[in-house]
Amino acid sequence: MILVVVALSALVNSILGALAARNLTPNFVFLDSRAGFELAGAGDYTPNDSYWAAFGVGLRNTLTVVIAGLVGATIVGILVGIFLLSGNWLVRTISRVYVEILRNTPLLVQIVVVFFVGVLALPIPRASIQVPAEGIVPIPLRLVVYAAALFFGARAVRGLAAADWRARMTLPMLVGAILYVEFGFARAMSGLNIPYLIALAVGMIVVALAWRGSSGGRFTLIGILIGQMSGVLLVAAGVVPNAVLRIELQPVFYLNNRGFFYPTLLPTGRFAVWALFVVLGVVVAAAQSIYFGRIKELTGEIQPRTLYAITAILAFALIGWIIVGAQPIPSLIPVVQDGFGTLLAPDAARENGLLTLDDELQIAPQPVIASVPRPRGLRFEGGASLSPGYIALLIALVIYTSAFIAEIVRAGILAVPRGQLEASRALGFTYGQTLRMVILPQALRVIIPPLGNQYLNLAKNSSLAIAVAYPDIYAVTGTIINQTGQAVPGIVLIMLSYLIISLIIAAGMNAINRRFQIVTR
Amino acid sequence: MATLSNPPSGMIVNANDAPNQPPPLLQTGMFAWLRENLFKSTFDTILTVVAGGISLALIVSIITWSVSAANWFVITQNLQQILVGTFPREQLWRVNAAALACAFALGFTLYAYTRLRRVSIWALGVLVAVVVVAPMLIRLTTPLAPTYLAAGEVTIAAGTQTEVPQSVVGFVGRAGETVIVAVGTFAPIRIDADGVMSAPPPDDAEIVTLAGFADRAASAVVNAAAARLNTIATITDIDARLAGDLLTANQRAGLTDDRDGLEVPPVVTEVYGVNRAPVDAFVRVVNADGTIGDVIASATLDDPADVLEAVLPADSWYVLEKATAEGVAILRATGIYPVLERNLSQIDDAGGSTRVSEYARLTDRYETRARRPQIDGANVPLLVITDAQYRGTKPLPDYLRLYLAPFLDQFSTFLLPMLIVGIVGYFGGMGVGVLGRDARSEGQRVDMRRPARAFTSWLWILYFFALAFLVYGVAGLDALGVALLLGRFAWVGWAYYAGANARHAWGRAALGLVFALGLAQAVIAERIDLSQPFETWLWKIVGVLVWLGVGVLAAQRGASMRERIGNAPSVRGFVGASGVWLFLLIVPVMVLSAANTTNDLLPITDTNRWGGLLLTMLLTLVSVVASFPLGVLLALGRRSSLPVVKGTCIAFIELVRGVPLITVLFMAQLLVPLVNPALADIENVFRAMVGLTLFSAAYLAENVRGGLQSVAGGQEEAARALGLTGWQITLFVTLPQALRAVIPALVGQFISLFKDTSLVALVGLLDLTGMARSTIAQSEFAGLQSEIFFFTSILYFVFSYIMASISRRIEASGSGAARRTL
Repeated sequence: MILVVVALSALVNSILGALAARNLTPNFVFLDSRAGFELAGAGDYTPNDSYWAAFGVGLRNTLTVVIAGLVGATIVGILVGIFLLSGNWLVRTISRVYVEILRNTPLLVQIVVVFFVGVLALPIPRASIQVPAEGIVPIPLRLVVYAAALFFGARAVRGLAAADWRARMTLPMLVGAILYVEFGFARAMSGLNIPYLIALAVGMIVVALAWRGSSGGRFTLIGILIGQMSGVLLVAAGVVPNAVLRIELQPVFYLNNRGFFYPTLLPTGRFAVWALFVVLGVVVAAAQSIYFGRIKELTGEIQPRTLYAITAILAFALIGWIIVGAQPIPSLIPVVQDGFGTLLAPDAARENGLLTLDDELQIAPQPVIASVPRPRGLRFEGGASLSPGYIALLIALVIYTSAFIAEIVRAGILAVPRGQLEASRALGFTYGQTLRMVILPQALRVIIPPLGNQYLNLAKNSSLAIAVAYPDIYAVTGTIINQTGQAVPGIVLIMLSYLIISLIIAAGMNAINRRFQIVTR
Repeated sequence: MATLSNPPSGMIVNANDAPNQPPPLLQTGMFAWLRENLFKSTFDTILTVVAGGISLALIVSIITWSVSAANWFVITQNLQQILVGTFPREQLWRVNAAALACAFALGFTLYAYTRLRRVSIWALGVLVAVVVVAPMLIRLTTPLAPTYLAAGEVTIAAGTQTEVPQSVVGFVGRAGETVIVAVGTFAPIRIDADGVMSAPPPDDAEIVTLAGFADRAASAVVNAAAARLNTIATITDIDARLAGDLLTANQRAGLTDDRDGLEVPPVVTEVYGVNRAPVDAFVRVVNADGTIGDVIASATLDDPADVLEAVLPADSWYVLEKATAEGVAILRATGIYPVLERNLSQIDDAGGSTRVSEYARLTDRYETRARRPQIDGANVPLLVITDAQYRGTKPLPDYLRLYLAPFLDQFSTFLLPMLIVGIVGYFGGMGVGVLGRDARSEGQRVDMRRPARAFTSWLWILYFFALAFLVYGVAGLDALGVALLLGRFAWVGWAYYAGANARHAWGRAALGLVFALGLAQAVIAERIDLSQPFETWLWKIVGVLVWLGVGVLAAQRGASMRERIGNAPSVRGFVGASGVWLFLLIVPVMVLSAANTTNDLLPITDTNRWGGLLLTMLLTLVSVVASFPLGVLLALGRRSSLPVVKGTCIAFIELVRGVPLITVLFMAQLLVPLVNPALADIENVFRAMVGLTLFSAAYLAENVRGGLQSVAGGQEEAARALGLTGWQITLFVTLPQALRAVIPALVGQFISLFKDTSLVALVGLLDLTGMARSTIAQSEFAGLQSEIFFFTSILYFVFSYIMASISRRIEASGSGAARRTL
């Protein structure tokens, strides 16, 4: 071990000596000097801020990607893991292909593909993908009639025995009538709708084949035919309403090659007071939960505590909203018009376009206002955005990690003894209930340690952001090292950041792991 | 009548009387499988339909894109770069030799460890047949796409493009090829003295359907026609939407603005006077110095029947001159194809490097370095890939002829030799099995694979050295050096069999002779010159001693193996090994001297020129081989009782595991030159190897630690009771069991390492991923990211999947925990 110590010290000495030869003594003071480089999408960071500020931006970006990535990967991974065990061959095979492709290609290639082939191929801002698509959507009132008919029809047959002919034929009749009225008779022109007839014939043949030999199919077919004839009668009698409700849709989300634009909520001047109401509501809800918990303990009756708590919070929020909104808007506000300060009525000021965002926030009657992105030329006003690099990195990280998590989930579910599944089926649980209440809690014991490993991998893989020009810790610190030449402090900084992030994730997973281990024994 | 359901009283029913009924159709066979797996319940059916619809749409769209819209020239023209980077052309034989040696070793290993099923052999045969025969079939049945060239003096404007047709264009051709030029699109239209046209000018739809290569002016005409048709379609679409009532006020205002800005331009054929006058076309030879020579064919093209046909006399440049009096004429040419211009640096004999332009024809592999044609010292415009891309939708025959056939050709060029050598290796394994089979078991079932298995690890060690020498190089290697190098390895095998015969007197004498020859061989090979300062020969003496030590080990192994193999095989092996040794000493000298090669057979290559798949494989191989012992040492050190060692190991492992790989590579790039200024010249490739090795060693240490923990404690106690010391216990008892238990995890880690080598693209090395990125950065291939990343992903996937399948087979064959329950 003496050799080890000697070797290490020789290493350190030579590094320091080489650095000293270039007049670079390692220290951390240089981080206070002016940064001098731009960072895309960094909010209020300017090149005049210090290197520490730049590093802070990088740290914030990494944490954003990591947290969003962890949540997304877990959800997608659990879903795909359950699909891998589905009874449906097609779903199983598609999931298997998904997992194999993603696990056998490098993450860097996936990130680059998602970025160049996916994100950069999105349309230009002028032709963004809009959600919901801008336009006028006509909702025919007939749909309401259909929904009501189906609802009441289902209710009417609920009490009847399953073999009763009325129970078996009612729904097929209604469905048949609806199909005919909606599709079978072409509105714009009179006459038969040939494709519809062909589709109907094919569908009936399929139904006949699938239910061959059972009487349920017979009733379904007869029901649908009677429904078709009723539909003809209804249309001939002219009973079908043609009224349409026109709803104008304004897009709220925009997706284009400059990023993803989404609305945000901004707190106004009255937010603080409303927040007090909400906090009060939370306190009341907590008190309520404790109170009803005591009642449950004493009497043994189940109390809907969650419902009461949510109701309390919502009630207080609503009351607070109304009370806060009831305060009047000031009739005159100071604005700057033509270089002079004057007082104007708010409406007049808004019409003349003299209200800044801060003014709007001051006078708004609601506690929060929604800032929706609106296109203006090439940019978007309002709302917030996610940069294309962030989107590509996030999507690639989520799907890559989800493939590994899917395998882990599959192994965990398969590790639960088969008798558990059989016993819960014997008790009458549906597959969904079995999964949720019996299998997943036991599977989690096996899943959590390797899951923690995958979380660490995701946190470290986020350093590939440099491939898509997203400024994370590694990218920013790399730039700092290149600009100042201080390699050693920079490297120490990078290593410390990633080590701390890894430690936090590992500690969190250990705590969760301990909790799950305790519950079972 | 008696039936099964109505038997006569007192009769015992015989099952053989049961009437034969066909099995119910929907309950058996494929229908049963469909019902069970896809249509079990209503929800299941809906799921099947939705999932099936989505996946079908996805697959169809990918296939359609890949066949008709994708531009695969980026792969067919850059395949060599993708596979080996910018490795010098004249040294490529070394990489080929290394690949063939790998194929040999793989064939050998395949024989030693698997039993090939007949199905696999047939499948492989069919695949090879398809790959070899398909290009020939395609070439015979589909013609090459034509090239459309424009002639005239009109300026053509399409969007932001303005082009003027070139009157002279240069192209390359081979002897015996035929160039045919005709009027391409439609018959020329003549306007007589009264201004009446001989035929109405066709609409743009005819021009838009041109499918083939097109020079800039011709594609400008096509783009103009397409833009006009587009505008008409857009105007119709906007009018339809404005006439409906599903628009918001904002949308209506926007669409009205757009509509006002659009107007239908006049018909393109009229604007540019397409095909109005006859075209005079000449094909001329280009002399060796670049000046334009004589006419070899000429014609005046007046209607589609007129054809300029030229049979090219030699492999050289040619020029086509075309002129028309009025408007623009679009000519259709076969035999004239775009070229890709590449600037190479060639190292001449003096050691300097000159820049040479190489022109590769797109449609086949014809390359020329001849001087391009010039007129009065100015370069004649060529049909270059940047200008004359085959963009847009291609019909299937063009896809087959232009992309699939050349790719399969190139693929089979390196696939076939590797396959043949692999088969040779397979039979080589069989040969070793035959030679070394256990004499005692004659009459019983002979397991020929065991001797082959024993030889496999030696073969791979040999291969590793061969790879290093071939790809990196050895300074000052001549024919004798090659012979002695090969002879050293053969000598080890000879020593093995000499040891096997040591129980006889003649065997011991032979052993002495073997070692004397080995010493002489090593001394000559190292060129030990005791008169030089001692630094030069000290390490060489150490090397000689190391080789002798290896020989001693081999002889010991042979002696211990003698218990298992009979007398006859040992003698046979000894004679065979001595023959191999002599062969390898004499034949290379004879062959290489006869070939009259230079003294330096394997010059050291510039590692900066390693790239592509070659670099990926090298990084993986070196990191895997180097990190394995390091990882084992770290794992053992972590369990040590000495606090400094334990602390250092723990600190190293946790530190390296807690940071991303890219930062480790970055640190390796930055810190290696700082550690020792003499190492500042160490190339980037080696720094990356160091980084990858350290990273992988830390992860391997954790896997091995798991394995070490799984070994029962009683093993160590029993070993101590038997009198083994600490290191002996670790080496002979603990480690074998520990490593066997974690083989799946280790192989998984190696597969991850293979994929992680892609990260060196971010520190400036051009591995497979880096090569892909740099290829799209070239202007000729800009915008083709989908194609090249698709291809790169497939390469990574194929290798990873094969390695993962091998790992699964190893797992299933009973390594790991399953074995211990015997």
